[in-house]
Amino acid sequence: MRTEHGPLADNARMPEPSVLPQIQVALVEDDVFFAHALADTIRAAPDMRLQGTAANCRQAFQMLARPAADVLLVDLGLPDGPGIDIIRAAQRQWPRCMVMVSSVFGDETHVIRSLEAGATGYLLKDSTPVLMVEEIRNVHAGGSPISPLIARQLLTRFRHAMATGSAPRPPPQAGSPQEEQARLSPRERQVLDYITKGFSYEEIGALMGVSRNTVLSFVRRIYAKLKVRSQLEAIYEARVQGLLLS
Amino acid sequence: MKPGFKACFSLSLVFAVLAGAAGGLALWLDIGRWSPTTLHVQAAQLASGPGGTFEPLPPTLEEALPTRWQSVALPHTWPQSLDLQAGAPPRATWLQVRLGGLPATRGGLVLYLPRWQTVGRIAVYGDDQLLYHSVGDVLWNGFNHPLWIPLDGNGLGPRPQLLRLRIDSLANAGGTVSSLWVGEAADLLPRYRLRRMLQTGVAEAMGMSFLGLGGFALAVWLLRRERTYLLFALFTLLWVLRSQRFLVGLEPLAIPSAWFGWMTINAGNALLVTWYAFMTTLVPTAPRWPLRALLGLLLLSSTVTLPLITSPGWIHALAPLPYLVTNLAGIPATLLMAWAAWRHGGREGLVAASIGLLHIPVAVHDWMMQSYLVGPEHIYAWPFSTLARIGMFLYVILNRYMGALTTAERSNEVLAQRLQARENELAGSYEQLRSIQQRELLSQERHRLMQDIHDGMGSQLMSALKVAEAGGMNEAQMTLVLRECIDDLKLTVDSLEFVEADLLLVLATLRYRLAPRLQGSGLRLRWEVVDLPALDWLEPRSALHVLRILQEGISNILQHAGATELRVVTGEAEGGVYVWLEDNGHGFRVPPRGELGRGLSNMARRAHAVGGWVAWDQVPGGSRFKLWLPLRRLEAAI
Repeated sequence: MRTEHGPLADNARMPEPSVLPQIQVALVEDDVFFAHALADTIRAAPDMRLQGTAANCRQAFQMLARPAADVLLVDLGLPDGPGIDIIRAAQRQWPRCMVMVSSVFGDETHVIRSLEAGATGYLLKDSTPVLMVEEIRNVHAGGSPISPLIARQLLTRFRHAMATGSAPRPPPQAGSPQEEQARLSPRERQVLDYITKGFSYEEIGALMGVSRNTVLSFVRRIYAKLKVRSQLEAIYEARVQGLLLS
Repeated sequence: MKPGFKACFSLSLVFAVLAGAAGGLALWLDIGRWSPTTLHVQAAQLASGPGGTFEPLPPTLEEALPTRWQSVALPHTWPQSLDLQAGAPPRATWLQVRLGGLPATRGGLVLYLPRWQTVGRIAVYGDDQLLYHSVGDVLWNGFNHPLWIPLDGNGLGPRPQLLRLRIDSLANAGGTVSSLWVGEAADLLPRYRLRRMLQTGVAEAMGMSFLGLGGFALAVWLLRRERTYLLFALFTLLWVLRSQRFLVGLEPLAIPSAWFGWMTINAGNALLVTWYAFMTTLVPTAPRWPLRALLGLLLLSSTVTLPLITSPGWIHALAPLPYLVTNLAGIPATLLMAWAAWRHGGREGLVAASIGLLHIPVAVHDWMMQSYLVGPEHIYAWPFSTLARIGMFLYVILNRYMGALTTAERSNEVLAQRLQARENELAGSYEQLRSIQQRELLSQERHRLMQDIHDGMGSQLMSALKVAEAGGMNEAQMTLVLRECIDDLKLTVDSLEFVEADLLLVLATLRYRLAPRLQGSGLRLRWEVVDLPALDWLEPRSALHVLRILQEGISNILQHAGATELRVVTGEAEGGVYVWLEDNGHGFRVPPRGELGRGLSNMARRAHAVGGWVAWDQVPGGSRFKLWLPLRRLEAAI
């Protein structure tokens, strides 16, 4: 197994920007410097357009009332409320929009909570402008980034979900289609396993005999399942507490 | 006493009273049934003289009868004389009753004699034919058994017109005969049965059943050595021995008459002593000397009455003596005990003392009856008062048993409470210990983070600040320093999330974090890792050491080796795992000094801290940095 680039490489295969429709990007960020830098970067990209910016939750909700963007970048630590709420609201109001969380560390606590709320990717704030633009394109094209630690965490979570019967929180309807949606396929599991061993998307693609983009879409699917799973868990919790009648 | 026990006691009392009343009524109705064929004989012709004999009697009366007859009322008693007439011939006492004028009966005619008593023998003649004679010993002749004698062969034979009773007795012995009943068997049977039950039946049945209880108590005593049980066992045994006196006489004795007398008399005395000993267990404040005195008396009387004297006359003359002595000693002892119980005030002691007091008139009555001082139609009351005393024993034993059960239940409760208290204590101290451990853990973690920030990012920022202040840093250099600081910080944050002892995950995280730098450097990365066993010591703190070692190693290659390719290889060797960083650069031949040197010694120190080591090798076309790590935690390390 050999390879040449890290997981974030590989923009060379993207088609020429000029033939692409422009990616509409919206930004929720309270850090003025970072917001400016990012806005400049997006404006500089030929295939992107900055559709709007918000510096807090209130502005963000106003922004969500306007026409939808393709990609929404959200900072979780806003002065007037939790950024998670904006992710959920975006799910309802801009259903086709990809939400990315911008984070300093990309640590599993923040990222996984965002993924459960419906985010499809995250952006490390210290990335270079080129890499950031690249990440936005990746997400828009149907891929999702993932770190080894997050992959490990997801494996642990889904392993608990698989062990029905002895699991402390089994999904409410065993064997239901919903539950099937909340399970990982063996190949998805394999992808996560390779990621925890440090292999890049290219390397994983080669190991599994698929393309890099397929690997990225696997990750996207896994994130979607994580969201379904967390919703099932919420229903189950509610049922346990007698809030819902079945 | 528990309420349940009380209720049960009251109920059984009510039941006993009702059953007694019903039974009594039935008996009275039955006994009181009077038919014209029933003859209650209360007067007879008496003749007595010295012509008695204990020889076998011929079936037909052949000897000449006394000629002087006098009329007497029945019951008839003649007193005993205390002057010994050794060798005097037995005395014969005749009683005759005419049965003429009795109407015809449907069934057989019977004679029912409630009691006769003397030292001797009784024989019954109907029209000079011998119908019955007692078969027991002279002394133990069945005086307590009422007689039931068919007179006309159950109606098949001729009915006798003249009934004669012949009583042969020792010359100096007294005697007594109760009134007689003659009539149909069916009419007289209830009377006979009631008397037989009261005189012998109760004592016999109770004696056997209490002997069984006594055996049980003896077994308890053998296991538990509690005096009450031994005393009860002894009491039941003595009672059975004693009551033989009232039960024998229908057959010849199995043992010599003298020994039998000795046994029954002294068993009676021993009962008294046993009772007193029992009372002292109920009334702990009772004086002990009467017990010793009674024991002494018992020994004395049993010695004096040892059957060395074989003459029945002597035995009979001595018989009332120990009886009297026992009563004379027993009465004061009983009174003394009652007084002690009154002073002490315990429930059991008071009840037992009352029963003891109740026994005094009974004993006096029975002694008087034995000595022909009260009428023969009385019943020896001794078995009934002894029954009360046995009941007292059972009551005490029952209380012991219930008390033991209650105590066991209470002690279980107490034990449970104690256990709960201990558990709470234990939980408390465990909680305390846990919070201490947690605090220690927190402080260790804080210390680790502090040190990491101080040695890594802090010192880097500090030197960057110094250089920037001196004006010797351009924008690119500043960016590089800041980027390194951020990378440092990210690895520190990542190290907090290592919960599984997985070295590959550490390497993967390092690759993920260094990806932008590696990519920017143009270095080709060859990721040639294989699965590794879990390292049990790999927790956040040691994981950060490993991260820093490899970060430094990669950083060195990036900055100093001038390489174009980097191989990352893992494997197992020498009881541990290794990580190789191979580059195709020029390497360095001697450990350099200065900043690079400090970096290398830091790597060595960190490797040592987790129980591993680092080394550098020259390989064809480049150099190899080796990190070896143990599989298991080394005690001295970390």
